[in-house]
Amino acid sequence: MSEILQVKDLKLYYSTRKGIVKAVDDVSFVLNKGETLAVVGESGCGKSSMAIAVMRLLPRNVNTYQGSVTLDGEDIGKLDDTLLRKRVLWRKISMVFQGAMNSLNPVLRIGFQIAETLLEHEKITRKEAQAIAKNSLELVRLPGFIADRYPHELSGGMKQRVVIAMALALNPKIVILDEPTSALDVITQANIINLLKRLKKERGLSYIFITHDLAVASELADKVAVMYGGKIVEYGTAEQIYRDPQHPYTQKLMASIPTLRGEKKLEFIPGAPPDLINPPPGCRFHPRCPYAMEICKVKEPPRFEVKDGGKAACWLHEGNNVE
Amino acid sequence: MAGGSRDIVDAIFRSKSGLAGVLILMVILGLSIVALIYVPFDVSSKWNDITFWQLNPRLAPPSWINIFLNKKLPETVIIGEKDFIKYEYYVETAGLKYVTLEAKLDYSYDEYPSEIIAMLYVNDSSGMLVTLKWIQPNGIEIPLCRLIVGHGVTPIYIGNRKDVQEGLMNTMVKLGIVPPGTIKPEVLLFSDLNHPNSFEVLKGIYRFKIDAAIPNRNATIDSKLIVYGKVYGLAGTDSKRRDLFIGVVWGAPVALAFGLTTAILTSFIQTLLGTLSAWYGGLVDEVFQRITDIYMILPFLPILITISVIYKINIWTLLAIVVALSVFGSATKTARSMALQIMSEPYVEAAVSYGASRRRIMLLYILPRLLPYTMANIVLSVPSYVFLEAALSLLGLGDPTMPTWGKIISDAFEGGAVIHGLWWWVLIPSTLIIMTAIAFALIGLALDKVVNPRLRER
Repeated sequence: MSEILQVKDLKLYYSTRKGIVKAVDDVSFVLNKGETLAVVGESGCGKSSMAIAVMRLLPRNVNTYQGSVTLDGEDIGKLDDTLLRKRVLWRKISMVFQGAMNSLNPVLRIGFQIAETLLEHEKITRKEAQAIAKNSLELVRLPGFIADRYPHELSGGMKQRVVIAMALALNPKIVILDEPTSALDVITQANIINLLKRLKKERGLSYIFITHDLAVASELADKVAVMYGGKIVEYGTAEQIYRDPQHPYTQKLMASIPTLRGEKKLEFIPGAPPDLINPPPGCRFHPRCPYAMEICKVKEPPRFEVKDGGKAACWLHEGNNVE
Repeated sequence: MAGGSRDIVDAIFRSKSGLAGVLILMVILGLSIVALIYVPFDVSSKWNDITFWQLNPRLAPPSWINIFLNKKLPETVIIGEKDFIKYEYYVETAGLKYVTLEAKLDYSYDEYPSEIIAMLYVNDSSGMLVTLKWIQPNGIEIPLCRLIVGHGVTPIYIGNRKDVQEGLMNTMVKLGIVPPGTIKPEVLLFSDLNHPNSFEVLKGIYRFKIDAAIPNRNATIDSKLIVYGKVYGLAGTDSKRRDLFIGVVWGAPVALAFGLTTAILTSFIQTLLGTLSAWYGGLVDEVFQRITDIYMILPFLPILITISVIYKINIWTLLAIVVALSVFGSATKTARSMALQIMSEPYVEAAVSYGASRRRIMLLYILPRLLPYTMANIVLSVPSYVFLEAALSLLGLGDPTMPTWGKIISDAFEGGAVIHGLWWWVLIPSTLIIMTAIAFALIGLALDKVVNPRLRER
């Protein structure tokens, strides 16, 4: 499979009144064509910031933005903002934002909003754009008359579909899905997941699927990246990570998934996610890690290769090859 | 706050207060539309032209007060040239032309007229000897005056003439009646001269007769008799005989246009600048906010007074000055804070990501959300600008040529209307100002429900 997106040493720091927040710190990963990468982790571990960093949709209070993002063989870090907006965003990579309820302009009709994305990029008339917008609504299994509705007239699931239709309007190669199902009930969630699966198959899309819900991630993911404290602590195929997690954090995370039935006692990880302004020295997980060693407190672990091509940033795997 | 303009209109018509406000406005606007159609002249150019209004009585209350009084106050009666019966004959031997004019006047009011004026129109300059006579319903003939009239228009103020008084006195002496102490021609001409002290109007048909003689075959005379009443029109008249009804209905569109234009301009400009301030942030934000602070404490009135002392102001330059002094204001602050909130919403971020330009995001994503607030702001600030115009007129800073509500009140104030009990002069324009304010306040009350989410009943 060919690489479509390569992210290397991506850093995104925010400056706040309290200090510099290291939201994304040296994140690297590769996404292949037609593959789904699930990015999982607790709230506040930098998942959404990573998505923003990949899309280069930087907020005002950015302190540091470093690293390279290679999309389809082109280093998009070298493009200026206008060029990025015109040539890359939405044409090659698009995004479904967290909370579809708020991702739609409440004062514009649905069709108009989807048409907006087209009008910004293509030289077409509004009429043509509206027609394409209607088509893309059919793509996400919504009736055409929805185009004349306002967002507040739609249900949560319908809005989510509209947002997905907007993301797909320009036939991108990669779609970043930032918690697309987090505010929906399970039936609607399943619906959306099936829709995403079908679209992926039909159009050969690659997804970066950001979620804190490991169960949902398992439905879609080919690869999984586990983030903790702004870093990817474990990376591997879905199969390997779900069956045999190598990083203590991933193990704890898996142990905390509730099952529908059974007497399994739910585990939790004591302590709180690290303060990203002042992260703990060494491994960021060590204050909460049951296997913490002396070296963990001083030296940050590199990513060691583990079995099945996975990688884990943990000193427990010292002696394996370093990435 | 998913509110658009349609929500606003809905809210106004659904609530009773909004409906009442709209109705009041409709009535005021309807009046002014009727005025624009039925007043066949350009009011702004004629308002200060005294000769234009000379056929109206001075300081007459509105004629509808007759409904509330048990006496019937007279309205102005004008007997035109065509209402006179005219006889002309030329006597060759004497070389004189004789003209007789006679008009009938049916007078059945309970009060005496305020003034009587006869207009004489002569087409010859050789001098015409004219005799005026007044014949009462009871047949008593009173010689009014005898004079020589030249070419052109000659007004004869019957009430002010000595010879008319003498004529009245002689008539009474002939009848063997002791004349009363004061002789006011308007009163005595319409009283039964047999009982001059009863001060009761003699009702019936009066006759006004003109006999003229001139040594020219082609010369002729025409006349017009104006018997001024004591009531006039729907809103009375002022000291310059101007019809106040025309003044107030003409003032309505002016006041509304002034109020609405100023309110719309200032609200939109303030909202736009507030949004820009939030949008650009940083230095722009800081500069805009500090300018707003300065604007908000600028003393409005002294600046206006200074400007109007230096320049000649009409109402539209006044509007321009008011708008210029309100470019920044409280709405700038509110709009900024609202825009900051809206900007942080995900759909704006989404718009940025799919490549919407800055202008587009402003116009399609942020400003529409501020629209309900701006609308309410406009509606609520209209009356304050109507008040401002009136207040400035009262201070003598308004437009001197146009009849605005404030100008009429200011004229009434100068004319001592309050001291002399000329209530219609003050009350009618002020009632209209208050009604306008109430109308907009009622609409604002209805709009509050759109803008203030806590009051919404959904």
